[in-house]
Amino acid sequence: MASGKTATQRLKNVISKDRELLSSGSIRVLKKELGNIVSKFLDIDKRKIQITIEEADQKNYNLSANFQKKSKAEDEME
Amino acid sequence: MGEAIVITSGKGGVGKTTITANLGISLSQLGFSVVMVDADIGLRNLDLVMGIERKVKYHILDVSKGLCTLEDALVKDTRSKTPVCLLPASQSHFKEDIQKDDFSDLIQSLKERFQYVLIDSPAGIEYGFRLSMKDANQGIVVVNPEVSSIRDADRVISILEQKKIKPIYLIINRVNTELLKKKEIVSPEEIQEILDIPLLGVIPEDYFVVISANQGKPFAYQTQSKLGELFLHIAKQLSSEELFMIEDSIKAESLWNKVKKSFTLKK
Repeated sequence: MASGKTATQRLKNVISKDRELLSSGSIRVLKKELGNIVSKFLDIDKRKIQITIEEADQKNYNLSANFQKKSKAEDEME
Repeated sequence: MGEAIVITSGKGGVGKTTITANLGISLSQLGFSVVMVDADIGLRNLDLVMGIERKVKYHILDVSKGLCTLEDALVKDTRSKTPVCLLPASQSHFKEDIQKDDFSDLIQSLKERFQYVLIDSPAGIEYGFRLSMKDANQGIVVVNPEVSSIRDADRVISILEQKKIKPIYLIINRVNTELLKKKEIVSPEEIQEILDIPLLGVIPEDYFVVISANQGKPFAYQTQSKLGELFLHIAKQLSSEELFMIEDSIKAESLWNKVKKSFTLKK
């Protein structure tokens, strides 16, 4: 493969990461901490958290999180 | 009120100064009054590329400190019919030596007197760059077909967008047509797709760019040459807000052979 194609592909990958508001590491920590807090109030599966963060406008961020309920089977195991 | 346009790139050495000089001249060939501001304080070069370094008496910091008037510091290039002026940078100071407000005042008074104020930004995204973009209405981002340059351009574009500078145009500089043919560089189409801003021009790599800088004779003065024609075309688009078609210059191989011939003839 000519190196121009490789360069294009690598650039697309790296730039889409550059444009993200938070690094993948920060997202992982945020999920963990959110999971710890929310699990004090709701029965959730801490391993199954999805979050999205967007810049809504000049002044606001939109942060949305999706938590799954802990399954019955897991309840019984504990 | 004139338009202030910042010419920037993030990465250094991609051709900002050469493009500022020649675009300024081409705009003046179209009849616009133009002033160029060398905002690369401490690393003055626009005067040298223009070939008017011997006429520099004062610089931007002399003006901001009140040691001379703005008029005193403007260097006029007499080779042009319509005025092309340069406000030189200081070679002995540092970026931080000029206050933000003083710089803004200067740009403001230049906008009142000229139709185009081209601000040649320093490389990087620090103070000097932020100063250069502060009072710009429009931006031109210069990029080379290299991964580091393209990534840096993306970063710079996002900063300009945050500052609501619009439009932000793209100029792809130093396209090696040999490598392009062999697909060993990111193509202009792909660069534009990645960066996603309107394209103002694609400039093939050519040794005459180096020669014209060596001689201090900007190629834009040779309006009959292909390189001069290309810049005139870019200047027309900039002033009419029309967009560049990649096919215009990148059918380039044949065009570029013509360019080389025309320069050989002129020498």
